[in-house]
Amino acid sequence: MGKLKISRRAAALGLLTGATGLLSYRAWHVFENDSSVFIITDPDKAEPEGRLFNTFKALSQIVTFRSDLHEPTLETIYQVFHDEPWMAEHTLTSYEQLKPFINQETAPTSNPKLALGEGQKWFTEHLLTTWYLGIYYHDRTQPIRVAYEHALMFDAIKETQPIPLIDATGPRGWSSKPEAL
Amino acid sequence: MSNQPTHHTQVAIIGSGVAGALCAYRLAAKGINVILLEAGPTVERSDIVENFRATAKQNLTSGYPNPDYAPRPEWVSQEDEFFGSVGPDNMQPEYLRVVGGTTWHWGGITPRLLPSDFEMKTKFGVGHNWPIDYATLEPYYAQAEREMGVCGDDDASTLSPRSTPYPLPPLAPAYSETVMLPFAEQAGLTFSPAPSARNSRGYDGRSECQGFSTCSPICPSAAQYAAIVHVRKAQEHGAQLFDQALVDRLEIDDKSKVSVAHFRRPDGTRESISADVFVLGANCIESARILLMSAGEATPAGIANSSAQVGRNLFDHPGIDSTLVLKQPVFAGRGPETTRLAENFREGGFRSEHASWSFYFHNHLDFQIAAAEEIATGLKPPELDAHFKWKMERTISMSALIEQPPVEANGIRLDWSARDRAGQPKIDIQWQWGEYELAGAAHAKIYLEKIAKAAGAIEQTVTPLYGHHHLMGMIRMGENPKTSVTDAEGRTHDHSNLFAIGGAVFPTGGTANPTLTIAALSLRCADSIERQLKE
Ligand SMILES: Cc1cc2nc3c(=O)[nH]c(=O)nc-3n(C[C@H](O)[C@H](O)[C@H](O)COP(=O)(O)OP(=O)(O)OC[C@H]3O[C@@H](n4cnc5c(N)ncnc54)[C@H](O)[C@@H]3O)c2cc1C
Ligand code: SF4
Repeated sequence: MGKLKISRRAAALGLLTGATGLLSYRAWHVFENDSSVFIITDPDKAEPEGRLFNTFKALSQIVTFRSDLHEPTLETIYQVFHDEPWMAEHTLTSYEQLKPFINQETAPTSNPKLALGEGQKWFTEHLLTTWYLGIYYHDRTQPIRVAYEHALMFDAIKETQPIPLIDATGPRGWSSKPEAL
Repeated sequence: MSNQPTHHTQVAIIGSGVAGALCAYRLAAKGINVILLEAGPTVERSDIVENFRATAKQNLTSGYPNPDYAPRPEWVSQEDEFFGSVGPDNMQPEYLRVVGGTTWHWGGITPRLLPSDFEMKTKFGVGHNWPIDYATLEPYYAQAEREMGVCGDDDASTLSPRSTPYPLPPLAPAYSETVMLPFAEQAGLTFSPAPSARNSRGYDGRSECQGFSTCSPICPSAAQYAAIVHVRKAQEHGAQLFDQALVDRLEIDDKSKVSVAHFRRPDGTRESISADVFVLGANCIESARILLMSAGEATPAGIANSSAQVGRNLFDHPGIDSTLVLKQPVFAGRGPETTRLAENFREGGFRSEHASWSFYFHNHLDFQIAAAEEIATGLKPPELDAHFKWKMERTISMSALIEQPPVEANGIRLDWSARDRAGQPKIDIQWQWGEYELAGAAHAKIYLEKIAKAAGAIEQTVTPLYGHHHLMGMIRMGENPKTSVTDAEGRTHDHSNLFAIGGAVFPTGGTANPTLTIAALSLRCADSIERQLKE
């Protein structure tokens, strides 16, 4: 347990088989060169004091479908979530409910057989939103910036579009197609 | 009467935005003593960039300071506590209060007004005539373009005759524009390079445009002009900058001249300044507030307000935007915000019936809002990644910028019973769209839809009319002291040593984004002040 060997490209294609023609067409381009294998941390192997963190990490890897999460961002997000009284319970129960789907052919959160409890569904979506936008939104507090260039929305587009306030095309580079193409 | 002023200078300029900075620079370069009084703090470009990365609130103002001693409107201020009220229609008045003012986060588009824009009443029976014509302002347009570093195409046909070439050649079009222009041309529009204060090559010690695509809210490379350039140049010529100096009152003497400006420091202490000449350049809403706040026994309706026109005739450039998702990639979000402009409907006999409008594509993407929308559909990675990328590559928006004639009822009123965080009376804004601009918007919308159809767009959304933050009017210039506040030079009719600059003095605004005209008028006003000081 702990190693989920699905190529991100294969997973995307699997998922998109039933999607619109346009979508599946794009997926080829998204993951064409990506042979990375999705491997998650095994929280069961962690020392007791590191178990919650490792479960949170594994859960983050599952909901974002990424093995190589940026470690400092993971730590920041963990800290912000850790301040919530419901964090530990939701982390452990969400992971337990997702665990059986790890050794499957598709990404666990997209598995049609997955039936998360209401609280776990909310929690995993909250975690995904935080990773994706780089911002923690919750009624308890003002929104908190937890990542900028490591927000996963930029991971998705960075091949063809510069990350705002970080990257630029260079003089006149904007006139032609992105170099990656 | 007040105590002895704490400072004295020849010319005291209130506001260090593009209007105040250029006026200060021009006067200081002539050896005149100038003090710039600026409500906001001094900021560094690198800090602003860092603030935008660090803040969770993502909008065009969130990286800029908003201190209690110089509060400003928040982005989309309908829900903002800064104003008492705004409405009934959607306006979004927005400006910055920092050294250098609002051009820190403007879009840098700098067309000139058309000759007919100066004669709207005579030519189309709409709005007012200016007390000057295009030919009078033309040499100052040329100077302003040189100061700001405007790029444009000398070979393109232009509705505004030019005496000089553009200081910089045009910017290369963005790839997204190259894809979209043929569709817009099929719809009947024609394009030329948009004049912009953005370096198409290195200019004035600032770098060539690097293509960050964040022109608004901040250009990380300084390739886009911002008024901080002329604040610094004015200082190099000896002008003094008092930042964190919130002006809240002008005082007049028994000769009806302005004698003192009072201002407040962040710690609440009060200072004052006497000057031979005072110049009001605090952006049109704040300039009008200062005049109205200065009401006294001799001037119960406020300073410079014998016409009762101060605070009236506020106008903007209303806009409608449309966002498209296309079948083919356009790769917006790369390069300058806009490089091409369609001027087909800036001019024509139709202006007696409905508003004119200009058109451009927005080469800018809001990744955060788009990502939040994608997550809300329930997609999960990796499908979420694939679909988000797919959509971002195919999304492009376009805008029509529409003319709005001044209407006396649109304007501000001070509410002395409510205070902002700096203790100044709150501003209520009365704002309602008129038939003229609504008809112009309806005309523009037909073209937005034609373009979407020609491009075979999969999705199209069109916004309702909104404000472009091009604040104009409320201290308008004119020949008649009964119906206007300043003369053709910007000198107030009521007080010969008080001048106003900025969009506030515009009688009408055509479809030219206002800042180049603001800059030209400021340079012209500086020349008048110099002459007056000599006399
Ligand atoms: C998002 C956005 C995009 C824009 N894009 C364009 C564009 O592409 N092209 C274009 O032509 N225009 C554009 N504009 C408009 C442009 O920014 C303004 O026309 C221009 O900044 C006005 O210059 P100003 O000097 O009159 O005012 P400002 O730049 O607002 O400067 C006024 C200064 O006065 C100071 N001040 C205010 N009150 C006081 C007080 N009581 N005491 C002392 N100081 C005070 C303020 O702090 C500020 O620094 C845009 C505006 C916005 C908001
Ligand atoms: S594209 Fe980039 S470098 Fe060029 S003006 Fe805009 S923000 Fe500045």
